[in-house]
Amino acid sequence: MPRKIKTHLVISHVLLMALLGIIFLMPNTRTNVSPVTGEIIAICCIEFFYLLALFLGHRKDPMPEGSSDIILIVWLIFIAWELVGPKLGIAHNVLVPSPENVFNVFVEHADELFMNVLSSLQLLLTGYILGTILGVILGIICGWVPRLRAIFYPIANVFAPIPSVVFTPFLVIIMPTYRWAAIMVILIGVFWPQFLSMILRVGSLPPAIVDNTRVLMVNTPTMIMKVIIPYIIPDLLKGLRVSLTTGFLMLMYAESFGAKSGIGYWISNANVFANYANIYAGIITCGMTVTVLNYLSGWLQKRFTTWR
Amino acid sequence: MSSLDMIDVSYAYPDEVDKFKTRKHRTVTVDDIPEEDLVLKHLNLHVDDGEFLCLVGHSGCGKSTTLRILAGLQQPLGGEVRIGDEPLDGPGMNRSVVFQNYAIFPWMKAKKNVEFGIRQASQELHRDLTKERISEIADEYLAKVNMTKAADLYPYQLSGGMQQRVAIARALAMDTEILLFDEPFGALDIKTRRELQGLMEGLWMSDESRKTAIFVTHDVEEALLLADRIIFMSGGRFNDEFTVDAPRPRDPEVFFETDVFRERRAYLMELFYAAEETKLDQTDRERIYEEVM
Ligand SMILES: Nc1ncnc2c1ncn2[C@@H]1O[C@H](COP(=O)(O)OP(=O)(O)OP(=O)(O)O)[C@@H](O)[C@H]1O
Ligand SMILES: [Mg+2]
Repeated sequence: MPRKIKTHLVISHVLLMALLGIIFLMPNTRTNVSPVTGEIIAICCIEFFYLLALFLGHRKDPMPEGSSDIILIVWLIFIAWELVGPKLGIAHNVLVPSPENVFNVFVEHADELFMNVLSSLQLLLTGYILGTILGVILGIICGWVPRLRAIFYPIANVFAPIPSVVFTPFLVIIMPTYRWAAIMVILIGVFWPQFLSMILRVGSLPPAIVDNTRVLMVNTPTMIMKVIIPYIIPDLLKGLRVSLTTGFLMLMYAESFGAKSGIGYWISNANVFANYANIYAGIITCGMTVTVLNYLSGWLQKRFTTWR
Repeated sequence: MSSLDMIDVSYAYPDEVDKFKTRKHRTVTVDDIPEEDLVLKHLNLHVDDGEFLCLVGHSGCGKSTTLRILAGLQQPLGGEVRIGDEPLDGPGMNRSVVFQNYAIFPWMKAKKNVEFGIRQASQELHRDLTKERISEIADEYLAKVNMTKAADLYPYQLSGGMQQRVAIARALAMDTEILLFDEPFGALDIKTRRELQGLMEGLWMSDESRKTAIFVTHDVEEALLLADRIIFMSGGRFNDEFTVDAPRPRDPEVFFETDVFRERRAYLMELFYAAEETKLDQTDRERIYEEVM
């Protein structure tokens, strides 16, 4: 193992020990501190993923110090939080809840949080997948047929930059349920950029490739399956990642009005009761969900972009 | 396995043709366009079954346009192309083409590219090859161009020369009657070029049913190494032609020292220089011929 990483390993573990020392040895000034179990579990998980990244990733990673640098910052944040929160009680009792309380939410309301994440994912994935499929299929068709392209390309250029949230009042009226209105907001937000990028991509099929398919007498089904689809896949996958972020934004927005479940609802509901422990727990959950989704789409992108 | 004829073929690109369209006069024919505006001017050509013909001329003289018409990618404005007795209309599986660039699909591995060509030919010509047979043929032709090791590599992992080997393997593996090449070695260095020229001649000769080949190039040595007959093109016309009667295979080291090569090369160079200055006319050509041959 490189020397640099060894030093990092030592420093990060010294910090970890300091953190644990503060947690267990210093008395609390605050009175309303929850049991420490949740926080300890969280610290264990972080340490586990850090070691995993260090030992599995360092061979290929061009910046092996990256994960070590991050972990130093994370432990420092924990230490500062512990100190200003429960231990010394400097920070505002409501605005800065104790880490014990925040992570205790994950223990006490595990099932509730899980159901909310599930409900959010349902909305997000339905809108995201439908929006992507529609965008890709219609994009290919409109990109390929010059006449349709002439009609829809300018239209797409007008609609793509408009955030789909502006259609919300209208969608709430025409869609049968609130959930479908939310799905539509996500769907539209994902659809336009993907549609536009597909029109452009199909239209940019190099003339040399088109000549090639013509002299090889390629028929339409083969053209679509063996030429157009492989050609657009890299752009499609790139689009997937970008629209995941868009989709998530739309989801958070959609869940903050009229929803009865979902992680966005959880956060805005906690906001109403000024329950900051719940709010932070919700934000952390969002972060973890986005990370997992990003990781998955990154994996898809790597797996299927083989030819360039 | 098939002869090829061009009968009074003329061509102008659509932008040029559009200039001669008026409201009353919507269909433009060759006669409406002044001859100097035609890219190809009343070309006549007969290529024998099994002949290797090289088309030589400097940049912009219409070589690629001629080849694209023969490939069926463009329709002649006037005149007609015949393959055997059939008039040509559009691309067809009696021809296979190798272009200078992007000759193969970048998202298919080398072998998949060759297999794709074979499968298309098999479908169009109702050869009904099985999957296993297609794979066998692909392996066989990749071996012929020394690319067995690269079968599972994507084009981006191959050098330009290797990509052209794959393109040649695909064109030959399709087993069509006519082969069309548009400067397939134009972007390669001289060593790779010589190697592939040798390979090309060898493959063409070893074929039991020797194919008709039309090969566009502006490299004089390349033309002389490969051709049975050379046509010199200038300003959209076939200006001159001569045969190269030299035994095959032509080893560059030996062939470049022969009189046949030296004379023909000098003649071709003269044609190139003369064509640059003026349009060649009959007397010019006779004069040059007298001088060098
Ligand atoms: N797509 C096009 N549209 C309009 N004019 C074209 C087009 N392609 C070629 N031309 C014109 O047709 C003429 C012949 O071009 P062509 O490509 O056949 O030349 P070439 O002999 O193949 O030249 P090179 O050796 O540079 O490849 C040129 O004057 C060129 O300007
Ligand atoms: Mg050319």
